[in-house]
Amino acid sequence: MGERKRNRSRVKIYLDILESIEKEESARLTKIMYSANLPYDRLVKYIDELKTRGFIEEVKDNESRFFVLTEKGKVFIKEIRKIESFLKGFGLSL
Amino acid sequence: MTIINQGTGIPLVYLDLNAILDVVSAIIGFSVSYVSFKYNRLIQETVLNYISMGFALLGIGLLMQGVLMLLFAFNLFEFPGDYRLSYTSSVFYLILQLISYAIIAIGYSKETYWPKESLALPLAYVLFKKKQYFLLRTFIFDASQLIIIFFLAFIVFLGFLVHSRDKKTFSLLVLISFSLMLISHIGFLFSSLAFSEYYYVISNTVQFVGFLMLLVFLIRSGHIG
Repeated sequence: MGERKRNRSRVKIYLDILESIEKEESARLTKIMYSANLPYDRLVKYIDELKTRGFIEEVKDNESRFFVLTEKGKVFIKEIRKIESFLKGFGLSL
Repeated sequence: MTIINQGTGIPLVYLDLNAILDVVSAIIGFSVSYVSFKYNRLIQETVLNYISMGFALLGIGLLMQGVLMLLFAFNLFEFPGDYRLSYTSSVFYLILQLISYAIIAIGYSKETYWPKESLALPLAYVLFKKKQYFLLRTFIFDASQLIIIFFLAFIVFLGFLVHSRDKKTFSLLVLISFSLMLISHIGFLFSSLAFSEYYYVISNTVQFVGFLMLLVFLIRSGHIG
C-alpha cells in the first residue's frame, strides 16, 4: 500500500509551461525551461504543440525569442485550473 | 391537518418532499457524472470513468424513485394493486445504488492508499450469493442497505485518506458529502426496521444535503455559476 507515483500528464506539462509564461507575461525559453522543469528538447516539442494549438505566440525582439499567451491560451489555463479543482475533490491530480 | 395518500397510507407531504429531494439529488448526480465524463475525454483518467458511471447510475436510480413517489402522490399508482411494480422498482433502485457505490468505491480506491483488491472479496461474495439475495423477499431492502452502508463506509474511509493527504476544501466537501450519504443510509435501514416513514424522510433529507455538498463542490470548483 502506498501513494502511487506518477509522471506529469501532457495536460499538466502544458499548464506548467503556460503558467510560467503567464507569470512573466512574456518569457524566454530558458526561463520556461527552469520554471516548468523540462529538458530543452522536450520543451521545444511542447512549445511547438502549444503554438500549433494557438495557446502561445512567439515574439521576436532583436536577437531574443519571447513567448506570450494568446486569449485562447488564457481561456485554456482557466479551464485546466477548473479541471484540477474537480480532480482534487476526488484525490486525483493532472 | 395532514393529508394522507389513500393508496399508501403515507402522508402526502412526505411523498411530495421525497419526490422533490430525489429528483433534485438525481440532477446533481447527473451533473457530477457529466463533468467527470467530459474531463475523462480530455485527460484520459480511468478513475473519472468510474465516478462518471457511478453517479450516472445513482442519478437514474434517484430519478426513478422520485418519479415513483410522484406517481403515488398523485394517485396514478394504486398501492395494493401495483405492489409488485413498486416492489420491483424499489429493488431495482437499491440494486442500482449498490452497483453505483461499488463502482465509486473501486474507482476511488484506485487513486488512494488502499488497494482495489480489498473490495474483491465482498464483491465476489455478493455475486456468489445473488440467488439467495433475490430470495430474501422483503428483507432484500435491509440486506441491500447493509451492503450499501459497507461500500459507503469504505468510500468515506478513502475520502478521509484523500483529505488527510491533500487538506483541500474540495476533498473536504466530497468527504462530507459521502459521510452524509452514509449517515442517510444508516437512517434508511433504521426507518425500515422501525417501520417509520418519518425517519425515512429525515434520512432522505440527510442524503439530499449530501448531494447539496456535491453541488457546492461543483460551484466552488467553478463548474456551475
